[in-house]
Amino acid sequence: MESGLYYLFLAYTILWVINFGYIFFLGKRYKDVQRELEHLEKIVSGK
Amino acid sequence: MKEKLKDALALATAVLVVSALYMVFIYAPTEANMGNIQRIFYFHVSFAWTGFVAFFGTFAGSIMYLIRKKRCWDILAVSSAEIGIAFCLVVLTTGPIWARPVWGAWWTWDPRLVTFLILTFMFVAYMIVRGAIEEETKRGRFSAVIGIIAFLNVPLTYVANVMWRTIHPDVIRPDKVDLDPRMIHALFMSMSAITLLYVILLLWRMDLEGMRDRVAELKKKIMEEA
Repeated sequence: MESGLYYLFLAYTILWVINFGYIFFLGKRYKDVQRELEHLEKIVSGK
Repeated sequence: MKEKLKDALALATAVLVVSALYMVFIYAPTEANMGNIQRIFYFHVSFAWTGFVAFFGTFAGSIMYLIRKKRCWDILAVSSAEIGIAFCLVVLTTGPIWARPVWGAWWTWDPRLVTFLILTFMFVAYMIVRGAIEEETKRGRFSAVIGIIAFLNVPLTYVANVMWRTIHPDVIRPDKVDLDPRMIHALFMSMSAITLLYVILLLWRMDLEGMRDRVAELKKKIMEEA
């Protein structure tokens, strides 16, 4: 039973680490592209 | 309006995930033979199911791209494939963690496990091919073909338990679900939560791809004007 709880805890920890890791990775890419887009829009509107 | 809808979806996803966790850990009874370790099953199956849904999204987007040649279908295909791979990674890590105390081994070369692993590798190959081709139309066409071929492994993975001798549990069959009703409720809630998580991630990922297109467009415009 004790080892069952250990594996259960391990599985759910890894599950959420992968999920939040992906969401964080997606959010970071989103912010980077948004920043680049804003920068390029400024250049184009300034011409 | 669109942003408000996304916020509402994100909130609904969070509520469903918390409800699913409550049902998995408190509402569902402890399985008689395996004990608490069986509780991995609810999210493991939900991520596997939603991974299949995600790959169907790639399959449908790829077919539509080949027919219509519109970039929006390619965006749907690539966005769905990336989320599908992330979800498969969850399945491929939680499965062995369950298997270690139950089977006594992290991994066996069981048909269900092998077909699922091949499925994941095929979609990883899909992403690698996309990254290797610069030209947009060529990239869309090539990856659409790979996306369609890779998806054919989904029904094969699903029926692997029927076609070959396997030790992978088969509690969910088209004719019967071999579970306590409370376990079915917990599984249904987990599947709903993860499906909604897929939808919200898909919307964000498609937005990202759209913004990348706009960046490429502006860069091209600046280069032409320079």
